[in-house]
Amino acid sequence: MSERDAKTYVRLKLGDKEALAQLYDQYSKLLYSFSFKMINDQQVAEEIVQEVFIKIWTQKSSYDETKGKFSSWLLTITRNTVIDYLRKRKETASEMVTKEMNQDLEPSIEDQIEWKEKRTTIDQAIKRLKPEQEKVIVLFYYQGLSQQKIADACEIPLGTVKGRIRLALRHLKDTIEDIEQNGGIIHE
Amino acid sequence: MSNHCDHLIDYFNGQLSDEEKRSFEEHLTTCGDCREELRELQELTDDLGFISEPIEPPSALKEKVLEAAFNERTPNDMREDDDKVRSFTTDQESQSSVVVPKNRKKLGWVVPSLAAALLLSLVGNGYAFSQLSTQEEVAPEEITPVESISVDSLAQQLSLQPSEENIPFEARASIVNKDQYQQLIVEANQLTQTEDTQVYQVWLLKEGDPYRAGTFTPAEDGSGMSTFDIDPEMGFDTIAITIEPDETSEVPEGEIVLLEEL
Ligand SMILES: [Zn+2]
Repeated sequence: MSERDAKTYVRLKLGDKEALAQLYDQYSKLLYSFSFKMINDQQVAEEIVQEVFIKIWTQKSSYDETKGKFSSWLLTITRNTVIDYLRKRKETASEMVTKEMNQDLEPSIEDQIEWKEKRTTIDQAIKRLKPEQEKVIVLFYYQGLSQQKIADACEIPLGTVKGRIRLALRHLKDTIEDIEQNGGIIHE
Repeated sequence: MSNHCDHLIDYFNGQLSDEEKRSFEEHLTTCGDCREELRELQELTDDLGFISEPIEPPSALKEKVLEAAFNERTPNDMREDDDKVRSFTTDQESQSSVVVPKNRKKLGWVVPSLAAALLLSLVGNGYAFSQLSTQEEVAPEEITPVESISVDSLAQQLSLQPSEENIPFEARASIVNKDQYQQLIVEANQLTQTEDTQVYQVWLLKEGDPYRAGTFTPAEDGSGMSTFDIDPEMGFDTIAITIEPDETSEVPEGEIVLLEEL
């Protein structure tokens, strides 16, 4: 957590409304974009963002440093909110996630450098995964499906789902680190 | 491995019923494997949200979201009595408000007021409390903390920055190890004079909960100081200074002039 975020968050916990507005300015775009990625519906993405900021303000979800990076914590709340929403609607997330992953990036429009860098790296790393591994990650993380649905979609035994997910995620993490260290040059 | 362990993925993805969730969380307290795997899942997915293509949310959303949030009751509102949300002006342009936490039980060990602090100091139970503005007749070396620092070990010292750049303000906080406790000493210069009964109130915070930690008013030369005994077990994480209407505020009501992590 950056020092600025830490201070803003303490103010928020003291009930300073300006602090919530600051967090909104800083993170709403990321959380909105992530919601949209998961749910592919602008209207719903707006509702998700609203729900997330209500959770932060009312401290239904509360941050401390054991929960990792502040941005990751916000993304986790957002993801959980999307999953709750999907469960309530008893629908699954759309198919767009897989397709969108293969689109070319448009780096020129992005001014938030860190996000852009991470995005490029993760995107490259995902493209290097085997298709089955990419699929498992999309179904598990970006669509938040149940173990049973992942098993059905991948046509694998229920008992092997967890192992597949962990393997795919570890492979992805290693690939991301490799790209970060070697600037995207493929060593095979 | 019990069959509980098979619930990890559905737990992570929020797919369990309330009953299953409770029972899995109970399982987590006894199953190191699941705890480790859950931590690993969190770590491995930490940054994956950043893959999202940046989309600007509609500009009207901000007002809508903030309004919806501020209409909700916060934990601060829900404590004990349910009265006011007080407003204060931070500067010319913007208005903020502080929702007053009502949890007074936690404040039990805190010196309740300036008057009480002085009284305790007089009866000699170990509270050292001083105010530069009222010390004309007292020789400085009898009460200034400098002496204490040379005798006791200094646990932490930090210079404090004002929260608004337009407030000229210089302050230093020292935490000094005593026998059974620690002493917090705040010294400040270039303070803006307070009005009427207003005081500068020092707070120590733990996870956002404020505890009173001394008050002072500026002397004519704009300096001020307070000392306060603290329990090292408390594990405070933040220090704040506010300007309060008088020295009796049990929770911050006034303008935050300073906020710093310990
Ligand atoms: Zn287990």
